[in-house]
Order: sequence, then C-alpha cells, then structure tokens
Amino acid sequence: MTPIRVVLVDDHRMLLAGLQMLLQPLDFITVVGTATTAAEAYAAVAARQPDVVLLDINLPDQSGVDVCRQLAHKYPRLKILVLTTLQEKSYVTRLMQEGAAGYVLKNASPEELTEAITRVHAGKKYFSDAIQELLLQPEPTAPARPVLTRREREVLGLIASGLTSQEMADKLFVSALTVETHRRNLLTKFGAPNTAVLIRLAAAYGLL
Amino acid sequence: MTRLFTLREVLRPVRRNRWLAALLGGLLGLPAAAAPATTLDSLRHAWHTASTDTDRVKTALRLSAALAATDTAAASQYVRRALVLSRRAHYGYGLAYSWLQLGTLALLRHDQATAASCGERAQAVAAAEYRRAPTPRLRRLQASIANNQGNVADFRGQYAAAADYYLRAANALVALGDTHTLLTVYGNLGTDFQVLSQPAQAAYYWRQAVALGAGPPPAPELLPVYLQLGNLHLAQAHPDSAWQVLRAARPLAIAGQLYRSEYYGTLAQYYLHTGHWPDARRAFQQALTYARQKGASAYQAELLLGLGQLEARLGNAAQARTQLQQSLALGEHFANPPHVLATLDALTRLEEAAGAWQPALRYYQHAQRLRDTLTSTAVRRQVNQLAARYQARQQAQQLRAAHQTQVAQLLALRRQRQLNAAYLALLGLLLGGGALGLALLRHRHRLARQAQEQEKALLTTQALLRGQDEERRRLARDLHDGLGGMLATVKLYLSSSRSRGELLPAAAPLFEQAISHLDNSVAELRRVARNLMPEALLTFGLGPALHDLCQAVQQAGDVPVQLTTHGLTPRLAPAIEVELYRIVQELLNNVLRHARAQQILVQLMRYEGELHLVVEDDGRGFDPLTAGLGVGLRSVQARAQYLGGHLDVQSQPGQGTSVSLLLQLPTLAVFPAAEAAAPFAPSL
Repeated sequence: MTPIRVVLVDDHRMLLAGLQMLLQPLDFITVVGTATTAAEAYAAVAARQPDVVLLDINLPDQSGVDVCRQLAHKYPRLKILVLTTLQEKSYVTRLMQEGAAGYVLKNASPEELTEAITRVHAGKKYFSDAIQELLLQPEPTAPARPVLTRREREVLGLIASGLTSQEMADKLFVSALTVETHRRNLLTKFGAPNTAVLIRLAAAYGLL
Repeated sequence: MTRLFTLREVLRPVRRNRWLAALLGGLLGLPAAAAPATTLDSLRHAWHTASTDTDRVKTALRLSAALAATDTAAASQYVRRALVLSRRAHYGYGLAYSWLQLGTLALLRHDQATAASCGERAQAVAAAEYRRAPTPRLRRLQASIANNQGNVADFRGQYAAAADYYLRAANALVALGDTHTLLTVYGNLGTDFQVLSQPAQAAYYWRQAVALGAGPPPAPELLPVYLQLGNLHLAQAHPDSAWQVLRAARPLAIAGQLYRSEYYGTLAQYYLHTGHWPDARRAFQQALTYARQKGASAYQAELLLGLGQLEARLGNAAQARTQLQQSLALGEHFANPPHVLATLDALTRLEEAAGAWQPALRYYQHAQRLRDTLTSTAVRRQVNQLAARYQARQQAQQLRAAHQTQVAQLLALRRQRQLNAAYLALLGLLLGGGALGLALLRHRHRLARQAQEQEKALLTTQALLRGQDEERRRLARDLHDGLGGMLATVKLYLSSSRSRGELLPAAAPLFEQAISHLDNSVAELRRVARNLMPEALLTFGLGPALHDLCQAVQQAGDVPVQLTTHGLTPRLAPAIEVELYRIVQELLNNVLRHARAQQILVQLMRYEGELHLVVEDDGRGFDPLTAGLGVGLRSVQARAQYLGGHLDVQSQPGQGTSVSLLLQLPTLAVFPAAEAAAPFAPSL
C-alpha cells in the first residue's frame, strides 16, 4: 500500500516540527510538504498533490475558512482535515459546509491524529470527541411553535381583543412606538403578513 | 508569536523616536552647543571684571549656557549666582531668565520635578515684569518658558497640557516674528501630536518648522524635525518622501554632532524599507559608532535591534545573536520594556529559525512574562491618551458652553434693564423681578453644569470600553495563537515519547497525570479566550456568535436557552456587534448566577435602523425598587448608554426577569456583508 501523502499547514513552526517528528516514523503516512501561510499552502498543494491537508484556521494572511473553500473547490479529491484550538460550533459547521472532511482539536493525542488522517483518507468524516459532543447538543433554538416574551404574549392578547396600538400603550404604560415594535416582532415570528393571519395562527398554536 | 513574518513586519522600526528640544541660551545670542575653550576663558575673564551686577548676571548666564552641554553641575552653579545677584539688584528680567535656565538644566538631567517648579517661578516673575513694562524681550522670554513647561508636561505624559503650552508659545513667537525659536516650538508640537496618534497634525507642524528654517542656509535646529518627518514618512510607507527629507537633512547631520547617529539610524531604516541590505548595514554601523561616541546607550540598543534583525534576515545567525543579546542587555539596563519585548521576539524568531527550540522557548517565556506585566500599564496608558484627546475636545465644548451661558446672561441682563426702565416706579415689583431673574439664571447655570458633567462621564466610559475591547481582542488572539499552539506542541512531544515506550514503569502514572493536566489547561485557556473575545464574533458576526454563546450557557448552566434572531444579515458595525454580544453575555451570566431559572429566552430582532433585544428568564426575580441594579446590570446599563439605546428592566420577586434594549442604529451601521455572509438559517 502506498503511504498517505500529507501536507501540514500551521503558522507555528514549532507545531509543524512536532507533527513531522510524530508522523515521520509511521510507514503508512508521509509528510510531503509544510506551509506556514495560506499562500504557501496553495503552492505546496499545487506542487505536491497530497491526499490529505492538515489545516489550521488562524493563518497570518488569510482565514483558514477561505483556504478550505478554495482548496476543496479546486481539488475535489483532496481531503481537508482541520486542526485547530477553536472549539466553536459555528466554526465546525461553517468549515464542514466549505468542504472539510474532519475537525480535530490541537490537543489531540498522536493516536487520535493518525486515526483521523487514515479515516478521512478512506473517505469518512472524523471529529474529535469534544466536537462530536458539541454537534450532538440540542440547538439553542428548536421551538415547535414561536417562542414569545412575556410582553409579546400580553400584546398578542390585547391585539386579539381588538385594541388599537394607542390603547395598548396606555394600558401597558409604554409608548405606542414600543407597542409597534412588539407587533412587528409577533408578525415576524409567526411569519404572518397581517394581524388577522397572526390571530388565526396564534389560535391554532393555542397561544390565545 | 511565530506567525510567519512578512519582511515589512520584521523590519518595522521598533518604536517612534521622540526628540524634544529645550531652549537653551538662545535668547542671549549664544550658541547652545559646547563652546570652544577660548570663549569660556574670555567669559570667565568677563565674569571677574564685570563692573555692575546686571553685567555679572548676564555673564553668569552666558557661562552657564556655554557649560550646559559639558558640565551641567558647573552650569547650575553659575545660574545660582546669577539668581542671587538678580535678586540683590532687583533685576527682574535676569531673575526670570535664571529660573528659566535652571529649569532647562533640570530638563537636560531629566529632573522633571525641579524643571516644573523652576518653570512656574520663571513664569510668575516674567508675568509680573511684563505687567510692569511689556517689552518684546519679556514676551520672548515667556514663550521660551512656555516651551520648556510644555517639555515637562510631555515627559509626564500630559500631552494635552503640553500642546496647550506649545501653542501659547507659538502664538507669542508668531507675533514677535521670532522664526528661530518658533521652529523649535513647532518641532515639539509636531512630536506631541505624533504621540497622540495624530500623524496628519504632526506632519503639518513639522512642515511649518521646515518652511521656517529651510534657508538657505538651513537652520541647524531643523535636523531633529527632518528626522522625525522622515520616520513618519517611513511609517506611512512613503520611502520617496522620506528620501527627500533625508537628503535635506544630510548637510546638517554632517555639520553638527548632536543628531548624527539619529540621522544614520533613520537612513538605515530607509534602506531597510527599500531593500538595500548592504547600505542599511553600513548606515546602522555608522549610526552605532556615533551613538557610542555620544554615549546615547538607549538609542544604541534600538540600533542594535535593527541591525540584529537585518543580520538574521540575511542569514548571519551568529552576528544577529550577538547584536540582539547586546540590545537586550542594554534595554534591560535602561528598563525599556517595549524595547526588551521587541528584542525578545526577534531572538525567539532567530532561535526558532535556527531550530534551537530550547533557547527559543526560554526567550518566548521571558517575553510572555514581561507582556503580562506590561499589558496593564499599556492599557492604562492607552486609555490615558484617549482621555487626553477627549479632554482637549471637552475643553473646546466647555468654552462653547461657557460662551453660550455668557450670551444667555447678557440677554437676561438686557431684559432686566428693560424691566428696570419700565417698572422703575414700582420698586417692589422690580425687586421681585430681580430675585426671580437671579433664581432663573442660577437654575440655568446648574442645568448646564449637570449636562456637562454627564457628558464628561459618558465620554470617559466610552473611552474605557473601547480601550478594553481592543485590548481583549489582542489578548484573546495571543492566548489562542501563542499559548494554545505552544501547549499543543508540548503535548505532542510528551505523548510521542510515551508511545515510544521509553518510560520507566514507575513514571508512567505521573506522566499520564501530567498529560491530563495539560488537557485541562488547554480547555481552560479556550474558555478564557472565548470570554475575552470570541473568534466567531469577529469572523462570522453576531448571529453565529450568539448561537455559540447560548449553547455554551445551555451546557454550563443546564438550562434550556431559546434564541431567536431576525435581520442580522447584512452584519452590524463591528463595534456595535461587540457591545451587543457583551450585553447578552453579561445578562446570561446574571441569570446563571442569581435567577435559578428553568428557561432562558434570548431574542434579537432588527428591522432596518431599529434593533430590539430581550433577555428573559423565569427565575426568582427581584424588586428593582428596593434591590437596585447589581454590578452586572450596571455594566449593561453603561454599554446600553454607550450605544445610545434605552434599557428597560422588568422584574418582580418570583416572577422572573425581563431585560429589553431598544436601539436606533446609526445609518452607517449597516455594513455590506464583509466576507461571504454566514449562510446561517434564520433562527425561526
């Protein structure tokens, strides 16, 4: 079996040296190039045609997110494995959208790293444990019906009983402008074009 | 720390040089530089043969000016004698001049306290004299005193006050037509504005100085101005303009000793910018020679740093190492932390490039420690500078306000006079009207003062918040990029040595423990960095960042958090995004800390120019009337005020808490999506 050809991209030379030292003794992986900037990364991939790229997100000249998109677009068969300290769901989802094959945190053990490389090379996805946990968590927003603030519930009730904005404002001790803001929020949340539809939908959800 | 450095970054001048010029002896028509021995001898002769006290005072002052460059102690002695003689002879001009001279000598010794008190005395005497007999000579003296007081203020970091002194001096000198002294004052004024990060203003005053002294023949005082102007051009990446200035400076640098090393240093920076390495090296070496002759060790350290970086760049590691280490030693000797830091960074890069990890790590750690102690002072200084800038603007506003009050007073007075005429017969009514007018006037005064104080408090808060955020952003990047990467590398090394099986069995558990501690440290570091400034907020904007934040809170507090957002693409202005994020962060922290909530709701809706934020919980609640706002809510209030929004806190014991913020966005706040807008599904 021919070894997996890997290019390492990270702006820390120390980390690059560490990774190389780690991967060198393995016969099924060979490091064919390293890069410390996005520009170097493009050049290295073009020259070496690797199977897998280990990509850091924080690069001095361009964001790793953009590098990932460009590489994935230009080399559809290349597997991009993100290697970073950023443990944020927004980064994970965005990078997967940009074509990354895996997401590994920098405190991964050597074993985990080699496993990640072989897995993505075999066409599978790979995520560090902490990242999987992050992805499995319920979304902060997954409501079956629109979530309303207390004030919005009050305003909804008053709209249903046919009050004008000014009447509501007087009743709630706020300005008519504020009432309008609440009304607009309600319309947006229910996706309703007008108050009539809003009342119908609210009734259907059992909010009245 | 180890980002790949572009050439410009490496060769950037370490810090801006500041050369202030105090006024010395120029007013008596004597050269300030070291006088030839014959002049000194003839002056000493004149001192012994002078017939009147006034003559002896003049001679003593000339002697002190001649000695100033070589022997400040002897120079001070002569000034003291002049002081005593002036008092005895009631020679006011001599007295004021003596105090000025003493102050100048104190400035040369970097003794700011003495310089300040001498300046005040000189100013007092000169002002009294000027009231008695306003002569141009006294006016010129007062301008010189103001210049030196400006120097003192500069050294103390009171830049606004310094600018005020310089401007006062400049006004007087313009009226007198004294271009010679004016040139020095303009030079100092430019330096001031440069320190206040207003390069356009700085360049303006330096050019004024150049216009005054360009000659021919050019005035020797122009040399430091030329050099600062050259440095400014280099900092703004205009090497051609820098070259023009340097060419004009060359004859002056060759003619006089005083700034010759600075001339060659600036020349070297120019060659670095334009990529002439051998020329740059030669210029650096010349500059070093002159700096050593002059005994300017602090400048020597800067030159060594530049040279060391150049040699490193050219691959002469051994030479670079020697030079950088010398620079480090000098910098530490003079306790110049920014310089030490820059040198340590250069050394780290050098050793790293040479593959010597151990010294690289040592230098890196040293720098990191220093940075820790520096950050707080750097922040303080930054905020101070911001505050100084605001105060200057504030003063102008106060003046305007005072003017308006004056106009109002005049109007009121005029009206009152009319009243007087009309109601002269009705004395009682007049009295009543007068009292009423007075009360009204006082009321108006009080209102104006309150408004001013409020505005001042607001400006201070704004400056503080902005300074904090910039600093946090930098710190978070440093943590993530620098320390995070470093720890990850250490772990790699450790784990690979474990997997090679070179460990003693007894050491294995300890080793495992060390690795797990390392993991915990990395996790902690990530948490701290995210709290400081979330990367996602800068890269993807408010929507995704709030998503991450709510998820983290949900995980940490074991409370479901429901997030609703609308209209967040295109993105808001970055400053507003940061403030809103901080507000939500603080409110969520509050809920977690105090509320014991079962559910939290976060809602951010934006319709064109209007933004509505709600954070609501179903927890314990509190009585806002009796409990008051806690620290957390107060900081939210400050941020809301900064944004110009309206904050409303609704809460009752047992009824949960609802905080809402209504905000009109400035029209400029709607930015086109900077990078491909995050295609996050709208959260509904």
